[in-house]
Amino acid sequence: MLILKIAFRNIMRHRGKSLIIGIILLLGALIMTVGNAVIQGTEEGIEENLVNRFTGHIILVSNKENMDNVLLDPMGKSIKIIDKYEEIKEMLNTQNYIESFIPMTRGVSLIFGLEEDFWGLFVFGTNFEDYQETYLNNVEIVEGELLKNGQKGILISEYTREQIYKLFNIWIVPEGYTLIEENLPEEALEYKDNLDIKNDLVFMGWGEGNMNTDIRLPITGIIKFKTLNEVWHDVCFMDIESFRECFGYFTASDTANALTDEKLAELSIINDDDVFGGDDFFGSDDLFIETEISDISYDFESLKAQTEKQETEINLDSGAYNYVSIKLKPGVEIYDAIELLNSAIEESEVEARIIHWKDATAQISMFVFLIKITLAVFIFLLFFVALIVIMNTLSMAAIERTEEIGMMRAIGSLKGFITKMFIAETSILSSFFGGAGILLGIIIVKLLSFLNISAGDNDILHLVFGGDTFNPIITADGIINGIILLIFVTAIALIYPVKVARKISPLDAVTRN
Amino acid sequence: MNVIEIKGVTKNYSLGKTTVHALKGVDLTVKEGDFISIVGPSGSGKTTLLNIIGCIDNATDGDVIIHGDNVINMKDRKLTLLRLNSIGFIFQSFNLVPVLTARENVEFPLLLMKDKKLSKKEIRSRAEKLLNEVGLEEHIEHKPYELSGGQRQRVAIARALVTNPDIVLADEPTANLDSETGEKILQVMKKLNDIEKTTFIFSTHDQEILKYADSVIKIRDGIIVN
Repeated sequence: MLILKIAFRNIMRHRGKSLIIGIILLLGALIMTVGNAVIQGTEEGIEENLVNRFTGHIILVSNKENMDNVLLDPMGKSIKIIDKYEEIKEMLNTQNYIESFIPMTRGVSLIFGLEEDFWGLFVFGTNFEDYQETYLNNVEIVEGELLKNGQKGILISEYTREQIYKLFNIWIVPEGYTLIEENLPEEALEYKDNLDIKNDLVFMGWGEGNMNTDIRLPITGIIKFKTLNEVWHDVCFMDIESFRECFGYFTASDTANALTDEKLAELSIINDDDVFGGDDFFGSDDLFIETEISDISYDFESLKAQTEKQETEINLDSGAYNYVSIKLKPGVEIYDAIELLNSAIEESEVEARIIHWKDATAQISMFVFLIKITLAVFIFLLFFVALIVIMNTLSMAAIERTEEIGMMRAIGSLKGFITKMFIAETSILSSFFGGAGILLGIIIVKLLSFLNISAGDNDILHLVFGGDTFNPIITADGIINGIILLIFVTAIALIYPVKVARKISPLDAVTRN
Repeated sequence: MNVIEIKGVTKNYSLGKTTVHALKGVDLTVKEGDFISIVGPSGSGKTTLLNIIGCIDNATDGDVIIHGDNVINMKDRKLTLLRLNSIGFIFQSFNLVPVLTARENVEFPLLLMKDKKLSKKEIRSRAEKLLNEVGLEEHIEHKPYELSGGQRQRVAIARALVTNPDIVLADEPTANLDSETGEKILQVMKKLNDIEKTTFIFSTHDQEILKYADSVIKIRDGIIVN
């Protein structure tokens, strides 16, 4: 009580110095609170908008794939095909910590027919309805319609359409839809009647293999992403079978048409004579018979329906995939899941390996990491400066109070009393001004969230914000961490001044007298 | 009964390359209830002798025995507790804790004495009684800056006596006071010496206040000359 009384009155007595230390502590606590909230906001935003809406938590690839940055390789390098997806699917279905998973393909496709030029397209192949379900319907339609499962076609991003227009003067309109003038760039409006409009384009997979084929695909829709559109704006989607054709992958239809081993065995015992009838084949009079035109009529609509049915019955999972994107159940730690999944892979002997989403999207996770590091370094520097200033001010205060401290020691105060007095003074300042800084930080964070500041068309800001709007988040952990850091800085700042004060002897007071 | 015994005490200071011999083998015995004045010119060693007796400075050589205990090799903690329990100090510049009132300053040493376990009420009444005795009953709740030099020195006397020390050391207690106030301070000290039987040792230049001393020790060039 006596110590607190002396400490409090000393603070009031040395208002100037106390205010300097206090303001530094307040600023430190304020910036740290806001900084932590920004980092938290970025992390949660990235988790919500990137992991839950685009990458998943874990990426499974073939164990023959050496690259980790599979989703965003800047050169669009192709990903090795995973073997026996159906076995992998079976294994994944037994993992109770997995919420959902979706097999995908990824590659760079060339578009031909653009005024004798071509353009590279960053394209993902998937069963699109399943994709939308997994990724919280993150893709929304701008024009046309979204792909349905089994439907052939491509979804072109709004940004890609604009780029193609800028470079080749071609405006893409989804098949079966008319031009929407409001979506045209301003300069195109002037000569809208003479626009070169295309509803389909020729695509060819670009990669290491030489099996790639060119296919003409209808443009089903023009799309954009609900969140982080500025980051993903060049991503397009193809139906999985078209992607496989385009990139020369084994399609599900190939599997359906492939001969079974039994059929192959049967074929091997049939010789040419059995097929062509030996010498009698061309000599027989029975070979050419008179025919009659059949009067059977066919219902083409019914036949078409039967054909479509046959197509949908193809097991898409029997074709090729590049990777499987896996989403974990809420609360499951990624590294725990990776460990469990690695064991499951080993047990089931599937030829696959696991990549953390951060490694699979190296540029983005590195960027987020850099943002965090920058903020952390900034806060560290701020506290370092605060530490030096507080240390210096307190040391000066200790020296200025030599007579008072020396006299206290002379009349019986132990060194511990002097230490406690300094700790009490700094603790009061730290609690009051640090607390005020944290409170002010919380108010500022709430205000910033309320203002709903947009990242605009700046993709870096989209990543810093972890979404389309600035949404810093205050958490109890963030505040506790802030308080711990504040205590730590105060404690470190106290070491030297306390050492100086403890060294003051009664004799110093008398000598000054 | 001897309260203080000093035997062959020397004190040397290093000032750059030169060594100053502040005390050159001092012997002194002080009895309980003595009211002693140490006189001598500036630099004669008065303050050094008082500091060594008060355990706030170490002798270079010799023995300093307080209440039968030789303090020469005592650790800092033990010396501090000895000062708290047995010695009262009155400094030349009326060193008070600036942020505490007169009463709180007097209570201060008692609050440090954790082993005595005095109640708040006891501490308060003891401080107030002493402040009354030094004539400051009107200024109990005043802070040091609200008091005159003489009043502050009286607070210092009350603080020095509040723990019932065996010895009170006062280094030129009247040096910063006018002669009238100085005499009043000495009268207060003498009165407390008579009532409490506390041993007082004070240094001074002032011949006027020497009359209050039971005995006078003259010191010159680090040697007691009478």
